[in-house]
This record gives sequence, structure tokens and C-alpha cells, in this order.
Amino acid sequence: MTICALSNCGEPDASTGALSRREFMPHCAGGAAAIALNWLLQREACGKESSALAHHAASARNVIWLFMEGGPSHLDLLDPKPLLNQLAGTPLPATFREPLTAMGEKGSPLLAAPRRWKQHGDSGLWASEWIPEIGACLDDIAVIRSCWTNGINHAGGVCQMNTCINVAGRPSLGAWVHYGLGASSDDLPSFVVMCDTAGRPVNGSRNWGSGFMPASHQGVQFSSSPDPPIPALHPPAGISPERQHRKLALLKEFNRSHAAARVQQSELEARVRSYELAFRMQAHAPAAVDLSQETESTRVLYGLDQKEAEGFGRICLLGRRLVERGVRFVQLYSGTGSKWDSHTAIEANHSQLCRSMDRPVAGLLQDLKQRGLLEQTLVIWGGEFGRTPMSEKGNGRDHNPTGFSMWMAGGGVRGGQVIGATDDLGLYAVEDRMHVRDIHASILALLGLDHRELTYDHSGRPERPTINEGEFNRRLIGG
Amino acid sequence: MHSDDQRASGVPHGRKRRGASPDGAGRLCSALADGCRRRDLRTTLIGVMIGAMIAWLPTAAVADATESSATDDAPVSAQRAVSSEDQVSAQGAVSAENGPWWAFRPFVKPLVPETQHDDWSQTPVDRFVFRRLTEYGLRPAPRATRPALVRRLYFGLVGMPPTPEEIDSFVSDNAADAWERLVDRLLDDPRYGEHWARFWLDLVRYADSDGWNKDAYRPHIWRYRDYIIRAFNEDRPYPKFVQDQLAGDETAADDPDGFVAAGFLRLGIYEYNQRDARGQWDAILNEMTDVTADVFLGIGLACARCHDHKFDPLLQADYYRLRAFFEPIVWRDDIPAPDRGQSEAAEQNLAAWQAASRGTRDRLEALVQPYHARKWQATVGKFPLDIQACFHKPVEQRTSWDQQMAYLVSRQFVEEGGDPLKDLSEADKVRYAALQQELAAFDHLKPEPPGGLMTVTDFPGAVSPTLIPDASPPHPVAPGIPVVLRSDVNSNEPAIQPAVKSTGRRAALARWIARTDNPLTARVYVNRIWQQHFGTGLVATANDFGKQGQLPTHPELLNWLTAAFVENGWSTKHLHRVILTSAVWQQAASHPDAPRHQSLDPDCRLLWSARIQRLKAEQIRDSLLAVTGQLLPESGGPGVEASVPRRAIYVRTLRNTPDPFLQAFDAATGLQSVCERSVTTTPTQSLLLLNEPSLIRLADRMATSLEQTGGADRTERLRNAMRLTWGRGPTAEELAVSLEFFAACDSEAPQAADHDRLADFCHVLFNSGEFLYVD
Repeated sequence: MTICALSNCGEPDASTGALSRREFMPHCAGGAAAIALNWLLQREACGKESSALAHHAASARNVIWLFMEGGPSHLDLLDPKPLLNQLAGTPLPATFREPLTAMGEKGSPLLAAPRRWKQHGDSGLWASEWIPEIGACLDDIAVIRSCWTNGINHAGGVCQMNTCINVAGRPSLGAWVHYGLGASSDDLPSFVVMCDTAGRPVNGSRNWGSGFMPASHQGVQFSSSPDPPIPALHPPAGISPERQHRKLALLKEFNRSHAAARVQQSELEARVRSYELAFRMQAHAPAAVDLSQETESTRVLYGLDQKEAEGFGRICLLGRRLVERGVRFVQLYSGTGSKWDSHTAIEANHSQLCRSMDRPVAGLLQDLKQRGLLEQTLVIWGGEFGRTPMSEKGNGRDHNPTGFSMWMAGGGVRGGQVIGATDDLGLYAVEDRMHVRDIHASILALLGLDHRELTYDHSGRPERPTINEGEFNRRLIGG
Repeated sequence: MHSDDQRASGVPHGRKRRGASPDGAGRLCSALADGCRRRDLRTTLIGVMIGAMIAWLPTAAVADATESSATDDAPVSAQRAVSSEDQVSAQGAVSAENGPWWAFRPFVKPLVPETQHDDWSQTPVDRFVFRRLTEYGLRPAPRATRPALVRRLYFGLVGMPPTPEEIDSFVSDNAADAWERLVDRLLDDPRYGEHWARFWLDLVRYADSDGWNKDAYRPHIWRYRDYIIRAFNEDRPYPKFVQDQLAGDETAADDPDGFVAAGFLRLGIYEYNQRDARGQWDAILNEMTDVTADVFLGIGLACARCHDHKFDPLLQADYYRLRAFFEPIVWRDDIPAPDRGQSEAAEQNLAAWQAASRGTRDRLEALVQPYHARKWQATVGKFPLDIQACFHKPVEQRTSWDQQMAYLVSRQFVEEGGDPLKDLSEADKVRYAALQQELAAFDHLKPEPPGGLMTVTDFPGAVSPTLIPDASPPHPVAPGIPVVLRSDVNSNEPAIQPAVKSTGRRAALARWIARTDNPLTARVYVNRIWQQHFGTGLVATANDFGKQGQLPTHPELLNWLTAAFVENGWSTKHLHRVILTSAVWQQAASHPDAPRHQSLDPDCRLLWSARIQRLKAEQIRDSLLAVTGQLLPESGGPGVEASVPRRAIYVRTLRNTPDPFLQAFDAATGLQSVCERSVTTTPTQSLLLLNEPSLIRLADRMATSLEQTGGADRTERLRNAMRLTWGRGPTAEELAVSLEFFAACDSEAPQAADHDRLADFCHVLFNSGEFLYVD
């Protein structure tokens, strides 16, 4: 039973000297009446400090992952390619292997990226005119220009960027982190997801699901509006707090006597406590998402005064508030529902989406920095893939999983550097390539987790977050 | 045999034991290993784990693990070179002193042990359990109370709570065979199939939608779900059940369920706009292979997709031999659902409509033809050139793989890129509308379209070879069984007999799986049934009987049950009876000497007590609907929205948008085979139970019904509310706190309606442990 295992928690095992929670959690999941309490029991039993459970010293305590859903064009934002503009209108040179593309246009001419580029800060990193505000933060950012992935479609790509593989059913990275490090907050979930619109990302909630691990490790979606941020957080209108309180008091009596008559079955105690935690969530979650407590200048910093930026700015600001309150892993979707997908008219699509994202993201970085949170908060930016140098339908770009850009800042990452490179047209990653597995391994490493040590027993198989592959790219921390 | 079994059994060793994996040492393969690295072995093998675990492993397993660590840095290719089929056979010979892995040995029905000082055992099952208990100085718990037993039995067999009348009728039935009769009655209850179908649907990752981006609803797959319900209710012998699902298309002429059951081979996820048709089909066939091995054989064959299995004697070639059985499959969407007794009439009606409307339809066809042609061109043109070539090849020249590619291409004409007629010219629009109107004049002749099926057949032409990826030189692999399961004595290779419309490969596979001398099939299934009754199987890793899984806690009991199951015609209902009439199943959930027993066997693996079980997601929903009198008793048919008050088995499961309530209580998502659900306790569950408006409405309904028929006064009504939800009336103390609750309501909110207080009381009962758990 889980509780038996939990009682071991934190105590080194005499025979091994190193029995960590990671090692017995599979037991919890494997047992028949096994339960995995959400954050409550893990925290109570194992202590709140994540470092106690990490494999090595962590440089990041929190993650805010800015997910540009649909696939932004690296060629138009962070990876300038002069040759592309020179060859625009001609087919992909024969020296480049023609990739399998999602929309399957054959022999389409290269599409120019008519951007004005600027070098920023001391580091002189390049950013295009579409992201001037992020550009101003580049000294804090490590741009990875050599990302690659497998899925050519959104569903597979988003699935892979979240779970490491383009086959459905594995736990998301946030779930692995929750499993590996335990709960991070008394009153709030450890893994929270928000979207910039009321839309739904491709694949829905399984992007933050726990796959074959218990559901207690999955992300909790907060709506970006405060009323309420979580479904069923409050009783329906018309039920007064006093009335709810009377019901809870009676419930407690029933459940206590039910559990007391079954001392052998300790999971009943957990059920009693899950109501106490639910009650605490009712108290704390609304405050966490109450933006009226923020100053006007902060609101402006995140672009809440701009119509286009308001949606993503709001959740970026909420992201900071949640991290401040102990939420460890926050994922924020920009362009929810594949809006970054620009098979046609990329100019209109991307210029608008960049306006919706640039100020909020830069505001988040500045705000975290000025509050001293950036050092411990890893900010990740990127989509599920990039876009092709070849045109599609004349003025758009197809998906490019073979080479694209992401970036990371904070959480121990050395800013002002470029990692890796794509070829001269930005089609294939060619130098210091980072597969999604390497990206996940690196994120885990920054959080103090070794992607090879972190295992979960599923159907008798030890599953690992990066599926036995992947390397921490130490260049991220200047190594 | 006896001593081997003893050594191989996963006995409890107190607290240090980690339940999930006695062989935590060095398992490195991943279910989805797309390139497992041997390097990983180092980190897992060295150090604490192997030392801690060695005590758990039978000698042979330890030897294997140690050998592996010695070759730790050998490249994968070299490793593949040395683990030839010869070596696997040799391994069997060399390890003769230890014998092959327990699960690969034939099951032999052991003698039922003679137990000493045993006033507890009722059946042979109990004597096996009792012997193990006494070996560890443990004593079984006393029998549960009759009301507790009847509630446990209802949830266990029909998935729903007994009514107070049903409890009373059993409790007051003093006949010696009262229990047996109740078991039989519930096995005959149609709700039995509705409940037991669920674990099978979890295993085969059933869902009503495609998954991936569009997650399109599958309008016909529910017929497979209904087949499973029917198969359990009819107690279909397991070999037939296997045959239906793996090769029902071959017997469809004789069995209307054949094509429906073969829907098993359509349950994987599918991406409607995937242009990488080759990759998609490869993934589909691999996943079909994985699930077949998991579900029917209980071996983690997926590990062998990329390399020979690290710890089980399973070769990469074994993986592709198994996959080869599925190689000729083509998906079929054009086979009408069995329309028992009426198909001839339907065909005649259709012919009449076709004859009458032919002229109009021909003109329509001529009108839309160029538009369709344009869309076909666009659809096909999006695929890589080699895939386009498959599509353009005449059917008679296609191989099975060509046909599979052509199928995937064709589906995108319908599913992707919109209506081909959206670009109709203005003039054609007018003509089109007129022709549609003309056609509508024949609607009175037109029969209802027959419901379609999602099913499969084999491709009638040349079957493409099955190749091991990256094998050098690439050579075709023929369908066959894992080398380790080949019989030395008489060939047990499946005999493939081509049928009229099939290669016969899958039928041969199904026959081999369900052979009596297959050491895995019946054991794996019997263990699953045991697991459903006790929460944990005798082998805790129900989908993995290999060395990475757990050892059986009661190997001889498992053998005895398996043999008894096979002897009794592979009857699931018989197996239920054997289990449910045992004293071990009927134990109480609390033990008078629990602390000592827990210290020796914290997981209760030796079965010294029953364990309380939280209701599964579906049981919670169904119970809520049942006790409030809202449940619609309809069975079968297309899936419904979650708001429709039918049993959860009939609620549509959409892979990307699972029902939040069912999901919160750990329902399976249909993405991977689930052999054991997690049981979580989360604040999300508490919030839903407390605040979800639909629950509050149900409490309101229950209060209304109690006011009408639940007694004249408050005490009577709350007593009845408890009998309905808990299966028993209140104790004096519970009655007192309940009345205090009402009194507090009276004094603190005197203006509130009495009805609301009763509804609040019912709502509290829905949240109570006594409702959500079964003793």
C-alpha cells in the first residue's frame, strides 16, 4: 500500500542508503489499492523542498514554458538566412534533400523572409523586427537554432514536444517533473497549464497528461479568467459558505468514523485530507489568479493595455504569480489551437501573432528579473516545429520538423549565446543538433533531475522521460 | 516442479521489498524504445538495486542480469549478432537445471495441498492460500458480514450496488446454497457483461474516436463494445473470444459477430491528414503487434521491436514474426453491420431505389465528376511519389502494402481538404440543386443506409514481405511464434490454412494463442480475472509475465486455476464461481491482528484479508445514477453524451476530450493498453464530488424520491438514504450526528426548505467513504 511506502519517505533505506521517493513511487502505482495522493501527501510525507529529491543540484526551481502552438517560423524570427532571400523564387537546390512535408507541395519555390534584422545587447544576437521586445532581452537568452523533432503534423509534433515522442500515451514532461520532484505547493497544484484563448490546443488535455502514470501527476488547466480558474472550485451559486460548511462538517464525521473502523486501510485517511486540501484550494486559487492586485505599470509591462497582447499577456502575468506562489511547472499556450500554423499568408499571420506575444514574453522576462525570480525560473520558448524555407500556396510555409529554433532563459541558463545552427536555408539542423529528447533531458538537468536516473515502472518496464535517449547540452549553462 | 515454483514465487519480505518490480535490476527497455541504449544498463545495474533485488530473483534471472552487465558496453549490433535463435534454444538447454522461465513452462494441474489445522478453507483455492499463509505464520481474516458480502458481490459482478431489498433478501436467505444462487443470478444478469466488458475495453484501448488532431468520432465502433458485453454475458469460451477478435472476418459467414469482433484490429489511433502514409501504417501495425502480445500473451514484446529483448528470451525476429500475421490486413469500412434477418429485404429496397433513380444519379455523377477528379488529384498529389504510385496502380497489380497505402490515400479524399463541391460554378450550382431535388423524389423508396462497420479483411493479392528494419541483409520474415515458445516435442508452429477470402494467417495465430499447451494464454487471462476480483493479480504485472514482470505470489494456485479453467471449457463464468465461492474472496476487509500481518506483508499479497477497493470511475457514476433512481436501463447502441443518464460503458469515450468526471477517477483514456488502473485520491475528485452541479441535481432528485416513498419522517428518510448509498442503515452514533446536522440546519438556516436539507444530506452521502469504497 502506498501509505506504507510513504512512511518510508525521506528515510534512507538501510540496505541501499539511497531509497528515494522516485524508487518507491512505482510501487505506489503498481499496487492494487495503490493510491498516489496528489501534492498533499507527497508534500507532507517528503518535505516540500524539491532539492531533497533531486539527483544533483538544480539551477532552476521553476519552469515557465511558452508554447507557440502551430509552429512559428524560425526563419522570420531568430535564424536569419541571407541565402534564402537570394534564392527566393527558385526551387530548393538539388544539394538539399527534399523533405517529406505535411501538406505535400512538391517543388515549391523558396520563400523570402523579408525581415529587418537587428543585433541586440552586448551579445549582439540577432532578432527580427517582429520580436523587438524579446530582442532587447537577448542577453538573458540562449537561442537554440538546431532543434529537430520527428512528427510532421501538429498532433504528433505537439505530442512529441510535450511527451518526447510522436506516439500518444506517454507522460508529459511536466508530469515527469512532478513525479520526480514531488509537490511544490501547499495550496496550489504543482503543474498548471493556461491557454491564451478559450480555444483548445491540438490533442487537448493529454498534452499535460500523465500517460501511464497516475493522474495525480498531470497538469491542471486554469482558465485565464478568475471565475473560477478551476472547474468546480466553488459550489454553485445559491449555496452559502455556511451551508457548505455544515455539509463538510457532517462529511468529516462520516469519513472519520468510516476510516476509524478500518485502520488497516490507510488510504481512507488520504481521502479525508483530500477534502481539506480542496478546501485550501478554494481559498487560494482565486487569489492567485486575481490580477487586480497588480499595479498598472506591471499590467503595461505585460501588454495588458494592448488589445492584441492582452490574452497572452494575462496568462504570462498569471504565470509569474503562480510561480511566486510555489507552482513549479507552468505551461502557457500562445496561439492556442495551432494559430501559429501559417500555410498561407505568413506575413499577416506572424506579424499579428508576434504582436500578441512579443511584449508579454519580454515583460515576463523583465518582471522575473526585477523580482529576482529569473535566476531560479527557467523560461522556455518555442513551438512544436519550425517552418520550411520553401513556400506553400505561394505565400506561406509548411511545417519544418528537421530544423527550427527554441530559446531558454533563466534557471541557470547562460544568456546571450547561440547554440547550434541550421544549414544555409534553415531547412535542416546541422550543428550541435538538439532533438526534443535532448531538450527534455536539458530541462530536467536544469531542474536537478537526471533523465536516465528518473524511472517509472510501467507494466514491468522501467520507463524514462526521454525514452533512454537524449543528452543534457551543457552549453546551455556555459559548459 | 514444486520446489521450482516455490523458489520462483514472489513472496513478501517485509518492508524493504518494493512491490512493483522484484527485478528492478537493469531493466532498460522501454515500451516505445526508439533506440534503447545499452549504456543505460550501467546506471541501473550497478549499485544498490541489484544487491537489494538479488534475493528476489530466481537463480537463472540473476545469472542473466549479471551476464548482461558484463557486456554492458557492447554495441547493439554486436549484441544482436550473438543472440541468435540458436542461442535462445541453447539457453533453454543450458538452463535445464533451472528450467525455463516459469511462465514459459506448461501449466500442470498440481495436487491440492493437504492443509493442517485448517478450519477455514472452503474450496481448493483456499487450501493453496492457507498453505502460503501458514508458511509465514499468518492467519486469514474472518468471513465478512453478509451485508458486506452482498454489496461486494454486486459491485464485483454487475458493477452496481444492491438495492436495500436485494440485501435483505440475501441476508435473510438461510438456505445452504444461498450464496451460490446469488452468484449464479448475478452472472446471468445482463448488467454483468456491461461491467466486465470494461476491463477488456481498457486492455484493448477502446475509444469512440480517432485520436490525434481531429479526434473524429467513430460512428460504428460501438458495435465492438456491444460485442464484448455480449461475449461476457454469453460466456463465450475464451478461444472463441480470441478467434473472433483476431480473425472474426474469416468466420463472418457463420457468425454475425465475426466482422464486428474483428474491430479489435481497428482500435488503434489514426491520423486523418498524415501524409507520411508509410510511417503511419508502420506505426499502426507495430501497435497492433504490441497490443496483441500484451493482451493475449502477457509478454512485453514491444521491447523487441528494436533489438533482442534484454531479459526475456525474445528476439527481434520474434517481434516481426508476430507482426507478419497482420501484414496482409486491409481496413474495411464498406461492410454493413449485421442486420439480423432483414438484410435481404434491405437489399431489395436498395435495388428498387437504385433502379428508379438511376437516370438522375447518372446525371449527378456526370456533373460532379470533374470536381471530384480535381480533388482526387489534389489529395493524391500531397503524398510522396512512391505512395502516389501505389494509389495509381490497378488493384490487381497491387501488393498488400500498396493496397494499404492506397487506402490511406483514399480516406483523405473524404476526410481532408473540405467538400470537393465547394468550388461548383454558379451554373453547376443551379443544376446540382435541381438534380438533388429530382433525386429527393425517390426518397420514399430509399431504405435506411445500413450501419457500417469498422473491420478488416486480408488483402486477396500478393502479401508484402515483413522485413526487420535495418537488418542486413534484409530478408523476409515469415509468420511464426517466438522461438522460446516452440515445442521441442511436436511442432506447435501455427498451421496457416488459406481461406477463401483470407491468407488464414490471423486465424492460425488465434488458434495457436488459444492452444491448450500454450503456457501463457490461459494463465494470463485467469490472472486478469483474479486481478479484477482482488485488485491485484497473482502476478501483479498482468501485462508482463516475463522477467521484467513480477513473479506469481501463488504459482501453484495459478496453475491449478488455469488448469481448472481450461478443463471447464475456458468458461469465464465458471472461473468466477470458483473464485467467488472461496473463503479467501469472502474474507473481511479488517483483520483482528492487522498490525502484525501488515508488518510481515504490507501489501497483503498473501491474501490474509480482503482489501477495500475504491469504486472505479464507472461504478461511481453508475451508482450515483442508480441510487437516485435516474439510471436509464437501456443497453447497447451508439455511445451517448455523458449527460445522458445511462451506464458509463455507453458514454462516448473521445480520446482528446475525456469526460472530466470519469477522467478524474482514473478512467482509461484509450491511448494505451491499461491492465491496471491507477487509484488516485486527489482534491480534483473532492471538488467535483462537492461542487459539480450535476451531483447537486442528483441529490435533489434523491431527496424528492425519498420524500415520496422513503418514509414519513426525517429519521426514516435519512435511514433509507443511507441504506441506498451505503447498503446499511446508520449506527446509533451516525444517526445522532445526522440528526445534529438537521438540527444545525434548522437553527442556523430556519428559512431553508426541508427538502434542501435532505438533498444536502444525500449529497454528503455521495461524498462519503462508505459510498465510494467497497469493503
